[in-house]
Amino acid sequence: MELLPTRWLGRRRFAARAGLVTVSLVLLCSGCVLPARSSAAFEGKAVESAKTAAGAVATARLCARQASSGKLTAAFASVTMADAEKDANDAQSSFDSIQPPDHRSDRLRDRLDSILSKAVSALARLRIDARRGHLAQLEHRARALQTIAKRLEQFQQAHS
Amino acid sequence: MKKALQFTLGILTAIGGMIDIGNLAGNTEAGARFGMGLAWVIAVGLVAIVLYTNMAGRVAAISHRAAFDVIRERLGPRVAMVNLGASAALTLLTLVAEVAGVGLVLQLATGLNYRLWIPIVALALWAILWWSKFETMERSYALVGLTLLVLLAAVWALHPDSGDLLHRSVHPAIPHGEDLKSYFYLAIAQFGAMVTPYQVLFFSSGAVEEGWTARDLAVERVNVFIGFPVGAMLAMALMVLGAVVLQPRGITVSHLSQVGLPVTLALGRSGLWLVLVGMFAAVFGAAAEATLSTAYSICQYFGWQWGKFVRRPEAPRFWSLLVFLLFIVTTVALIFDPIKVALFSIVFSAAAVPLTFFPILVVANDPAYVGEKTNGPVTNVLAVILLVLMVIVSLATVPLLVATRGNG
Repeated sequence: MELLPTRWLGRRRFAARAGLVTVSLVLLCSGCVLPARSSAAFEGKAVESAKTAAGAVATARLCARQASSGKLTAAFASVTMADAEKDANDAQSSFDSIQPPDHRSDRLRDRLDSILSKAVSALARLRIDARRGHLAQLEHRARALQTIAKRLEQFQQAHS
Repeated sequence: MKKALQFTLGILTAIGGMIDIGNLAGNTEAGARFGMGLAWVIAVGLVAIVLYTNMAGRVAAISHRAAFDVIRERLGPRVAMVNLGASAALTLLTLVAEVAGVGLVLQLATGLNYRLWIPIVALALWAILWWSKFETMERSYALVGLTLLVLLAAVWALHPDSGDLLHRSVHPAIPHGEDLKSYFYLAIAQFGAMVTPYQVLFFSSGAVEEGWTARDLAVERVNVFIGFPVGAMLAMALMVLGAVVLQPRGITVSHLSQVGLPVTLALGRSGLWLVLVGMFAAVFGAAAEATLSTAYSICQYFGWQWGKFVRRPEAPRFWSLLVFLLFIVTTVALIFDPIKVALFSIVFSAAAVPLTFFPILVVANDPAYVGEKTNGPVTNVLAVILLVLMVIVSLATVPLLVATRGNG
């Protein structure tokens, strides 16, 4: 006597495979960090993080200039600054969570991490000022980001 | 006069109702990363949505039956169940993005965290779906959504080099730092942002709700053939703003605030308020459409009484389903990043489109449903070419999603 019909077993296998594919897709797409197996791969991930942070810095600079010239409301400016800070912070924490495969990668990590920390800190300052409604000061404050933006750009050019 | 008003309102409805959170994030992101290199996808998507919405509207106006009702009868319950599963799951994903998207717009206006707004948005949606008339609801958000025409004004005010934009549109190139995988991934996202199954299902069910007949086919055609192209111009404007303002600065779009920055750069604070009002109306309207669309599809498949025109005691399953959907969506929207959900939903939308569009093509060629008004040969050739393209897109979606890790 057939305890489990073949068709039912087939369905269970299909469901298991579908579940596996779904879990893999979710893991792939959830932004979880995959390990870097070589220094070249690590370098690639470093460039990716620098690019994300550079985008966040550019957003904050654009926002600061507009806020200081009265084009933005305090609410819009503070949300935009907070978003930019979050992006830079996420880029730094996901880069920091990658295991560097060798000593060369250690040096690369230290170099980028220092720039990213400065970016996050400067963006946090801008977010605080925007939340306090000090919009007129934002452009002046954002000047600190100019150097950081240049260093992030140089980093991308040197390693891509 | 009444007829003229019907035409005007129909066109305005189509324009205001076309843009949603997927377009706002997706079209701007495409412009920010690939300049005008993906403009051709908006054109292809426009042809597809116009062609298939026109078919769905014609079927509904002549047969007085909405899409899923006919799909189930024509293709049988099993095949229709696959269609229903795919389209309902996808529309729910879209709905999550839209509900949270309204919260994001309110966050930009008030500074209060978008999660605080989500339950209020869901409650407002419920109240409007529960109490307002179909036409009032549809036309009010669509008309307010017209403030999104500020996007065209922003493009105008920025004085971009139109020759250069056109050249970059017809000679797409991959910018430094991007690759072909990302290009095609975002192409799929653009296509999905233009061709969302819920819009077609909503249009078809809406035609039944408004009691369209064969005599309304002229109104239906005007809505589709004028309204959607103007709506597509707004999508193109988002891409241009991304290409002109964000791309040169190396900004990619991960937040709704970045969509507003090019407008404020061009038009200042008045532009900011107009774009926020427009975004609110467009995304709120899309959320209402997606909620109704999901409930319509499920009820039509199972043969339950449906529609806002039906009194609540006569369609208890339909009305309960609306409340249940909003409850589920509110819970999910509080957990996930809405912009990521929006970008995933438009990618999966492109993948699921053939399942909704193929049956519509079949039915639009069946005299039993549309009488003499079956598709002409040109429509059929175009529709089949687009369907083949949609199947290719559908097959490529998951591999590209894995290859790019969902980041384009």
